[in-house]
Amino acid sequence: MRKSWKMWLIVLLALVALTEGVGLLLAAQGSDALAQVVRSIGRIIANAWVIYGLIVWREEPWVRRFGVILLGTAAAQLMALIFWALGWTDMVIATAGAYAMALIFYAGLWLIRILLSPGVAMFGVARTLIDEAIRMKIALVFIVGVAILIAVFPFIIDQDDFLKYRITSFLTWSLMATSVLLSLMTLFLSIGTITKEQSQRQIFLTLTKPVNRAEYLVGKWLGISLLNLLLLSVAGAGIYSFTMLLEAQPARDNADRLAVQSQVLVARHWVEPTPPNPGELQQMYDNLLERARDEDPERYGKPGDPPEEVSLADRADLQQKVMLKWFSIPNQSTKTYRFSGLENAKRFPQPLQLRFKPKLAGKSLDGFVFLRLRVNGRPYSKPGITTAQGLLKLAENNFHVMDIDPRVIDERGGLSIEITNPTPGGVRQPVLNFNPKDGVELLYRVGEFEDNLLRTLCVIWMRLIFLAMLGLAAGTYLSFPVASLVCMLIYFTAAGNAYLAESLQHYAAFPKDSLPFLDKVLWLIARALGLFSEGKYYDLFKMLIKLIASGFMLVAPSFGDLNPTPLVADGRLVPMDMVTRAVLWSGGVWTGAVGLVGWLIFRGRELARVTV
Amino acid sequence: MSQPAIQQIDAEKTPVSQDMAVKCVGLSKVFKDFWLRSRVKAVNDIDLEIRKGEVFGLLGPNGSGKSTTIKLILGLLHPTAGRIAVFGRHPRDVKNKQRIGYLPEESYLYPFLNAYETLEYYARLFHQKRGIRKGRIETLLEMVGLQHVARRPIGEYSKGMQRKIGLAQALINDPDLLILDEPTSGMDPIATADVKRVIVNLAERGKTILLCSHLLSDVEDVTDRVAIMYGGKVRRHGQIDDLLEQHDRTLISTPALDAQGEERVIQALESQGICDTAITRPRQKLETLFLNIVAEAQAAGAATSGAQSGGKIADFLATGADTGGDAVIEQLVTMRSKGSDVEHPSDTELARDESKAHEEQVIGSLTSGADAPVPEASHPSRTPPPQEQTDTGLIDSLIQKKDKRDPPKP
Repeated sequence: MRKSWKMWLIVLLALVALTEGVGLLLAAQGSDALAQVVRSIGRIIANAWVIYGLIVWREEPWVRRFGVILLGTAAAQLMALIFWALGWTDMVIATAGAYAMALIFYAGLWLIRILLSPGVAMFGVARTLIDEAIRMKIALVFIVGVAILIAVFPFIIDQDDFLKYRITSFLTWSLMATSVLLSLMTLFLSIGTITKEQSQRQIFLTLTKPVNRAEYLVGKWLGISLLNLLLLSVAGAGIYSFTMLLEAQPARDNADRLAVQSQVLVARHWVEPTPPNPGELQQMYDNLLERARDEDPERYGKPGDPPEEVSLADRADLQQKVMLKWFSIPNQSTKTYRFSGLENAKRFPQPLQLRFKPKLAGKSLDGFVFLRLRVNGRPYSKPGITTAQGLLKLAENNFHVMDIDPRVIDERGGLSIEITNPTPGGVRQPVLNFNPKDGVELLYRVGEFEDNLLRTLCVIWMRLIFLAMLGLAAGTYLSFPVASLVCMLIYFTAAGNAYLAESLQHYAAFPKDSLPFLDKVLWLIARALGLFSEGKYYDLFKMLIKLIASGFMLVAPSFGDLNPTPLVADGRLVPMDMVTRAVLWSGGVWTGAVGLVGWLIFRGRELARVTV
Repeated sequence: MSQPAIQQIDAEKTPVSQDMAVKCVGLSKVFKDFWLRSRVKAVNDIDLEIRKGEVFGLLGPNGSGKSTTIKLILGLLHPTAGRIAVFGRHPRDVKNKQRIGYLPEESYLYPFLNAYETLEYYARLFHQKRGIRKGRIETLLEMVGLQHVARRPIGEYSKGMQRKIGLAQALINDPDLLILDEPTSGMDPIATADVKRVIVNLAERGKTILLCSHLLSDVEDVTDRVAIMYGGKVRRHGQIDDLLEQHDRTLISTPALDAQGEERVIQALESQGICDTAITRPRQKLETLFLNIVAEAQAAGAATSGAQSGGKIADFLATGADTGGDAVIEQLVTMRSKGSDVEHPSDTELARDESKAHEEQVIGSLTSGADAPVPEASHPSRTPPPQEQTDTGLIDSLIQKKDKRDPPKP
């Protein structure tokens, strides 16, 4: 059989070479028409020969692969032609995008199979897992789901919105969908593969071969991780293609087009302001704490007590109040915000972007906010929004971006922004506020969107790597439903760690953070007994819940700090620091720790059950 | 995963001689429930020795503890008490598993892989290089008669075909110890005969085989020694011939005799004082009849979509060093040129013809009183089960008795 398909291939190549050779000869002699006829006849015969070979040698793996690619290409071309004929240009592009994703998937899968072909036990386990994932339907559902969502998102976003927001929405939703769907697939696949092999006993055959249990676990993990890499590549290619498709759509106006180029499809570094006087915020905090202690000494401690006596939750509350105050500008007042560390920004020719979102504490004038802006002592104006009095007139509660020439950055890499709350036309404007988190920022371009997307996918991959090991470790001991529940709990805790921590802070009374561990335990026991004797069972229940939840959150990882999606969607640089932390923590420490626990459980486990 | 400490303990407390493949001493396995209460005593203080190069049968009804014993030997279960040594090492020693092939009682194969991919997967687990892997897979597929359906997913196979792939995966590493748990379960008589033929051939090549079954005829055909288990205990064990021989009866087998001939034999026996005699027409085994019918149909070129009869035993399953990929391919080429079913029939048919001629002479001499030629002592060897068997031993002994009574005249 092998000789025959080789002969078929040789005949095909010879046919092509002969046709092209004769065609070239005829063309060289000036018989273009005859050359065309020869080429056409040759191509018809070659195509017929190809179809014959694909049918006869379909059992050969490479022929089958080639046939699938050929059929897929033909099907995509046909669909695109139909859409073209119907005038549905968007669907033509969507078909092309979906085809590109499918092709990358198919080629990537083939590449992974080659990579895993050496005779290494771990590779064998990994390769079989990939086959399982592709040929069993659960993984396929998620894969198709990701592909469809990415292809459909660009068309369900409001077409009348600003192009900038449409691209931002597309990036946010497509990356979020990719991350969530692949996370769920990873968990189901990793738990499913190991629990099913135990219940259906395929593991008997594998582990009676010279494969130790650590190799088996690592092989499974490697397979899922490579599959995730492939799927992320496909999703990444899809997201990138459809982002470019959206970019090519008409913008609302020039400013919108410019915003897409300078604020979304870029990688910008951002700097948050500090007060010109470094001790200013601390002073504000101390004053606030003093007043709080006067009013409620039981909660905040007596005046003169060390600041650590205040609980973490109360400390965070006070800090929040300080920041709110610092970002509030009363009428007729001016605040200076200092941005430093801008040495690099000076090297880039693109303008700096001052981004802020003004909000008034009271009623605004027709939804507008007026303010005066000075940059390093010089008044700032922008055509179209600067009034005759030199004030900026801006829509309230919206983000505004002001371009600033990078040459104004001083030698120390600093820039001062003074914002004044004026009295436009003699009308007192209410207190002007900015959100402490992202109310006033300075951004500058440091990279490209493509690099940023790549970093984002890398961080997501690290998360999936961890989830793969988590699922495998849970599956070594627990049944599929129980392991799924446990892993989902950990996943959602990790994803919403910050929100949960905030909620728990106010849920029930807890010992102060400054107390030593033993004192905390004693405090909890005393408090529990007190609540019990007072008959406050619900409070006791809440305290126990908080205790359990706090313990769980202590061991569960946090994905909150490693979420690059909002950054890339907002045109911000996904910092290398985040990528490094993702590799170190998600891909290294958490994965290693969970894998170690899984291995310790698995290594001593009896795999067979009673069969007499 | 090597566990020298445990090996040392085994070596100290359980001396394992060099020619021992498996040794179990005081082996017990108790399954416990969630509250650690004893639920089932599956194996109860058994001692077992399997020597290198023998075919050992582990017999017993369902639930007698056979499969549990096998899982203990394979390290899939941990003994509650007692010790196990496989080739002198701990059963969970990963290096040891390089020398073991295992066919479980059911086909625990991946339904989404095809036969070729399945064998490729298990070959990878043995760290086999591509060339060796490919050669062995093709040889084994041909051996079990599944080369024409090698690209079909295992999930679409019949149970018998799955068992065949199971057997092929157990042989992929050319194991020194082959553990077969109910190997013919779900197989048709042709496949069963093929499996038994493979077992016999492997044993001739020096492999150690542990055969676990409750199909007694299968075990009887191929094993050297057996242990019979019931209720988790070994009730009897020993050489199969010793266990089965009826010491108080003798069976004489001859070509078909007419009524006159039968009368003359009875008279000859009665003249020696043997009165409790019976002459009946022997029946061939149903298995033999079935195989002959199928062989005729195959010879007539009847088509089938199922498994074909297996080919020649793979040459890489040899004692000693690996023959390598090239040798396997070379062997395959040779095999193709010879045809698939050429190994045993010629030898056995020759033996049968010789034996038949000899028997005619013996009967002739018995009835005429003339001297009969004494046959050469036959070497004890396992004969593939489908062949018709002729026991000349008893006739020989009868001749010897006659010779003693009537010494040849000078």
